Amino acid sequence: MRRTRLVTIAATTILFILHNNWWSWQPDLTMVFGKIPVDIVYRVLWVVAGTGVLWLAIRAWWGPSNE
Amino acid sequence: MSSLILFTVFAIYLLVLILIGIASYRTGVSTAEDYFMAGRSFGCVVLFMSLFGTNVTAFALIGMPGISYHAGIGTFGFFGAIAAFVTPMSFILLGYPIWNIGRRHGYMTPSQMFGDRWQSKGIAYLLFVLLLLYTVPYLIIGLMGGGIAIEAISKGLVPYAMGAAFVTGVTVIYTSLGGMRGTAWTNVFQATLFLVFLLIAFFGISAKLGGFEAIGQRLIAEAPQLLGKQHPRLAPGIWATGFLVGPLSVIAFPHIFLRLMTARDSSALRRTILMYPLGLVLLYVPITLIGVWGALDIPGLIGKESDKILPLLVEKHLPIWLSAVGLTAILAAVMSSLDGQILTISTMLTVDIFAHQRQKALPIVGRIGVITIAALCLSVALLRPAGIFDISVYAFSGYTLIVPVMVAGLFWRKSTAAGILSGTVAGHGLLALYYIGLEFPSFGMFPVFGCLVVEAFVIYLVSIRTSPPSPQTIEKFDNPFGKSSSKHRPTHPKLVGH
Repeated sequence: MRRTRLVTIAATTILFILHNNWWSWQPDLTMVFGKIPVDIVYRVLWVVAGTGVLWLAIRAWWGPSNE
Repeated sequence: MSSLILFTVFAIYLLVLILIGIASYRTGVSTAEDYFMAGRSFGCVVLFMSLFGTNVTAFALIGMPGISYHAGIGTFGFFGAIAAFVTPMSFILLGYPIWNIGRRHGYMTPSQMFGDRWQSKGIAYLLFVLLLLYTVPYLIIGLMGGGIAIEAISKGLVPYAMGAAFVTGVTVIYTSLGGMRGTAWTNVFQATLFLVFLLIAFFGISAKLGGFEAIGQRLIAEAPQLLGKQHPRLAPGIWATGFLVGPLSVIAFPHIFLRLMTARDSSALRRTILMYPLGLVLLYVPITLIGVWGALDIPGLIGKESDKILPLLVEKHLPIWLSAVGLTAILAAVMSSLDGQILTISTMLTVDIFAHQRQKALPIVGRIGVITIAALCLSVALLRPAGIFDISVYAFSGYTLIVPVMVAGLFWRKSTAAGILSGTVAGHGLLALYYIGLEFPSFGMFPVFGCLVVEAFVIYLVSIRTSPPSPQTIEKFDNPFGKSSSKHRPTHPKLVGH
């Protein structure tokens, strides 16, 4: 449990570092598959990774599910 | 013809709400816990929609596309993506202990729980006053939003005052009849309505503008600044601390606090939390892109004029009946928060102030509370006070400053009543001073960050120099992440000292 908590904290820190506005991305002017702005795709993937961290956090603090 | 369609869609929407209120009333409401907490019986779907519907206000459908119209696609990262992570994380680390301890000891409100934690009437009343102070302006803005929406739906046939009164009346009917169960069921309907409408509008507008690829090429050619994140609203310091104002404050909203405690079991809570990011992505990605597309399709809107971009695009590109559903969806977003706030203030008044009443009398007191609060807020909303919007901006930061109290109460055994009282007064006092004009360096970040640091520091400093409550009191809050029994014994709510 302690190890899972440490991994969760580390993953959360990485997520916060990746969620920033410190640099201006040149690929901003690129469309993924020609359709969706790259920043939107990046942020959606960030949320997907975040959901994984949320799942990890639940296991780390609430314990494994009884189901 | 168009007015007839608008009125028909709107009338069907209101009728469904009232029918849901009546159905939940017939389910039976006999105890305070049943009326205010729906017997702590919500499964995953109702809990998720109820939290989501309450959390999402008209800002999502009006304010956010208005901002992305000017600031571009970075708006999603700033508001949506971070909220999709921080808010559910706060539900995991604070929401679960609140649910667990609330269930264990029968707590219903933040004042009741944290007043008991430090055996302090002062803390209970201070929290009560602060939460009231921060929630009432939102309620009034909600009623004003309802009046404005109906005036727009009826094309001016129904004046603002009558519209606001009508929204209040309908909300009071289903909230007072059904209590928590009634508002949660209506939230399921309302959240479904605005999510489905938004997705239809998203694909419909994109098709009319030539499809995603064509819009993308136009954006690169005509408005490349909307694809970057250089807008002053998204400056690095504001961006880095933005999560403190919106996403983190959600857990301290009393209407969210109460709804979290209605979960049937930890499994319902877990699934709800894991669905939350998906819900916010489905809401915020389309709404951000719609705002950006609006800047291409209807350029030239200045300042707050861009708040109308969603209705303008819907009216321009989609059939009239969908335009009617759209305006009703905006009203649904307004009312889904409004009902939760009215019920929550009624719960706080009943449980925190009138807890000495007989158990069976409490639902009646609660209903009277719902009607009284709604009437008082409506009378203020009719005056359309301009300053109310400034207060609501201030309120978001104020909610954030409740979070250290929650953290100390749930996780720090050595925290003391004196520490909490002085820290709370210092943090909220500093914030109030800032908003009335005191200058202090914020280093390009949200000012609440400095207030938060001061509050936490004062809580720590005073707590280590004063005595904590008795071990018996602290033990009630021990093991906040411990397994909760599937059944709990409802208790008669008591405020400290009653």
